[in-house]
Amino acid sequence: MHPALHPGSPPPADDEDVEVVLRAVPELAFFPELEPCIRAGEVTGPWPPGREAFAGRDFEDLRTQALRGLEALADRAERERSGGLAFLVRTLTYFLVGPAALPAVEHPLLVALLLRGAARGHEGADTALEIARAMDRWG
Amino acid sequence: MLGLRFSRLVHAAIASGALALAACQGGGKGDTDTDTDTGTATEAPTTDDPTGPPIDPTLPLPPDPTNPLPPDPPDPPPADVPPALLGVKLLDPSTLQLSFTEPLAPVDTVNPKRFRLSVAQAYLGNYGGQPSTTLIDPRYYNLEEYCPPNPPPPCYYEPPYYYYCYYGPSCYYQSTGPLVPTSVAPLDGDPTSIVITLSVPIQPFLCNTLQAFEDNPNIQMVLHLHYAAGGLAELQDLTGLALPSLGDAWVKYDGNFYGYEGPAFSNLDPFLPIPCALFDVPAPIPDDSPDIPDSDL
Repeated sequence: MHPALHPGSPPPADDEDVEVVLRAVPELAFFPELEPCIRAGEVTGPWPPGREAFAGRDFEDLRTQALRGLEALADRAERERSGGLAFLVRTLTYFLVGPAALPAVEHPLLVALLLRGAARGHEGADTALEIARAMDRWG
Repeated sequence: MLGLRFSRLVHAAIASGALALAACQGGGKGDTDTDTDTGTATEAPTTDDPTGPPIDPTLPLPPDPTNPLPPDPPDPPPADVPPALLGVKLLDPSTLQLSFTEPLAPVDTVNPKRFRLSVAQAYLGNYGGQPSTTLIDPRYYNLEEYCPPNPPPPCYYEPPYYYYCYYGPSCYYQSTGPLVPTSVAPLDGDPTSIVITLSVPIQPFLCNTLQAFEDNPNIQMVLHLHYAAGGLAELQDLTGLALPSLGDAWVKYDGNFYGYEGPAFSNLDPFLPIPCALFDVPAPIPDDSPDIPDSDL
């Protein structure tokens, strides 16, 4: 598991720590709290899909589900005294809803969840490593 | 690219004060001390008691990792005293040995689902707030290293974006899946012990995680076995007295996280953490031992 997601992990202390924590997004997408956000079969085509594969779709439902998942993860961070997880959840929530909300295809967690749904149709693709690779190539 | 753009937004939000690195600015749980501490996360406050958490001294002490089970079991209790669990240790990564105060009745019908492992994590209250214990399903820590057969370069961005990527190493860890007892059997030659087979081997990653918390003055983390008594197919001694439950709420609980407030590990009585020292690799013995003159022996 990414060290930032461990119980008892400290919050990031500087910019470098922030970078490390942000890279935990692909693994965060595999936490059970976010499982309801995964929708298989929404896109077809080769792996990995790019952002164009999701063009024109409505992501409001996904955004709502992801918010619920992040709220549950915030509870987990509190329970497990995980400063890294708490920071990541706070950051992703900040850019998910409210005035700083990003388009879904620009939000790393939503992208990771979309990719997880697409990965279900490709054997061996629904792993944190493959999702991370696909995110790196997202564009 | 996605990661780089998001990274810049996050740093800008932090710089503007919209995002804070640590929560609980008002002195909540967890973060207030580390905010002002520029050292490493594992540095312990010098004023903390290095001897560890305030575990109830009336409870049995955890077994010595170097000798987890008593060499000489005490005399069996009187016939009207139920059996008690003395210790749990790993015989190998997939097998637990449980030792009791007296011989047990045959365990053929004992349902392995009466047992469940937890990674029990105790917050000792040093940051403020109430001490509490959280039980976590071990699947979240029982991770095995997975390395692709042909490891790609460590960073997956195509040039010119090689300076940012989500994954550094080409190998990563993934869960082995549920780590649950699958069978209960007697231990040959020792009527006071039984063995439990696990669905998957315990991975070094789990033991390493526990070790990482060994010197933490705020959080203690152990691997612990839970047991639910009751019904016909339960553990009993030769006179039919049942082994009492041990943290049985966890066995009956469907979820993977369970927390309660109170002194550390207060629902685990007896408190018998499973020593996770199974993966210590002995120093290799050279094939060609040097000749030692008799005079040096």
